[in-house]
Amino acid sequence: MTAKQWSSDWMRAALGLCVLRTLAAGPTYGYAIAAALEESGFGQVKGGTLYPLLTRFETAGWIAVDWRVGAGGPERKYLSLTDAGRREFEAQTIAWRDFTGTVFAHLDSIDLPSTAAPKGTDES
Amino acid sequence: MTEWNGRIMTTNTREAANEEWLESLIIELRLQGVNGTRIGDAIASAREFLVDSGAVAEDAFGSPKQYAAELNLPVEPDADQGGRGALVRGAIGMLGMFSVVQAVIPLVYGETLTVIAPVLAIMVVAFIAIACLPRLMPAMARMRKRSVFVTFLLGAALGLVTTVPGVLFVVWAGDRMALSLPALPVFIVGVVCLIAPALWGQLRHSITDDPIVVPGVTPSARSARRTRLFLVVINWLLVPVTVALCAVALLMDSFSR
Repeated sequence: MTAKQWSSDWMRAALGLCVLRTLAAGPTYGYAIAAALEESGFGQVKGGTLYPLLTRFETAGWIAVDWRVGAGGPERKYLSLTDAGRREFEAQTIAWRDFTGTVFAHLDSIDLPSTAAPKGTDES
Repeated sequence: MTEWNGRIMTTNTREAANEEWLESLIIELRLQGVNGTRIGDAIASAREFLVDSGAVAEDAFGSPKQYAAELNLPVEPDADQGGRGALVRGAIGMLGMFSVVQAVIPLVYGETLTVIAPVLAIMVVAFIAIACLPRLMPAMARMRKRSVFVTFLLGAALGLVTTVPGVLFVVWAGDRMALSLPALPVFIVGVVCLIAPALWGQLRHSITDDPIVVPGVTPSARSARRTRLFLVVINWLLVPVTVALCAVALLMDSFSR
């Protein structure tokens, strides 16, 4: 099955919140976040997109970092939401629902005003 | 095996390409003035992702320059001062190089150093040009992936192209005296001006050493050694260039005598 390709503008708008949602499930690491997002139908999320976002979250204090060094294996940078991150996730979720609700309400509206240009105004 | 850019890459080729990409990322982040701990973190994160995904770095992250810019990591407050310091060191080193090259022939033959006006003019022009060398550092550092040797040759060629005309002019117009100076003091001052900035740069680098700290790994990687070697070569570049110019000047002078 070919993965659906979403508009890059939409992805840019929604990716931050979706990454926070993935982190809300518990501590995880970079590739696991990308894989979870792909599994959820967002398509392939590249490291070049994901890590700058994670760096911004880390700088904002929304995520905590814990390097877990394996015995001989590669080190993993485990990321988890801080309290501030959890509050941010909840606030963004409410705001996003509000926004998408507004978009849906607009799209489903049956009383759309005519978008046709007014004509013959000079004949009245 | 991975397909990238229309070609099939084996695991070994991919890993080699990824390591080269990570080294370029280190250079880009260094050029930005990011500290070693943050660089270590960024490198380890990228390496972890590449190992997990089996992706080619250029495909997963874009170019090292682009990715370094997108990471937008905090920059050390004295990064600009370091650049200005390198500019001053480059200028003093150039002054030393010119003095040594000018003084070496009179010193060898026990003569007085004569400096003519056109040579002074050429010195000033070349002095300004090569004092801007630190400005060229980013470009030179990015050429590093071609190999330390090629970069060294390019740097030396740049130095020769800029200064050989001055040496030839001295040989050609040797007796048009404008300023007469004792050769030995000029030579000694030149050597000090040549060596001191390089030594200062070397010590400063050692004192404010900022190793790349990869989480959980002792910083003794081959890439760190190569980067350090490259910085040492750049720091001391003017010394071998000066020796080469002195040899050229002496050789040409021996033909004209």
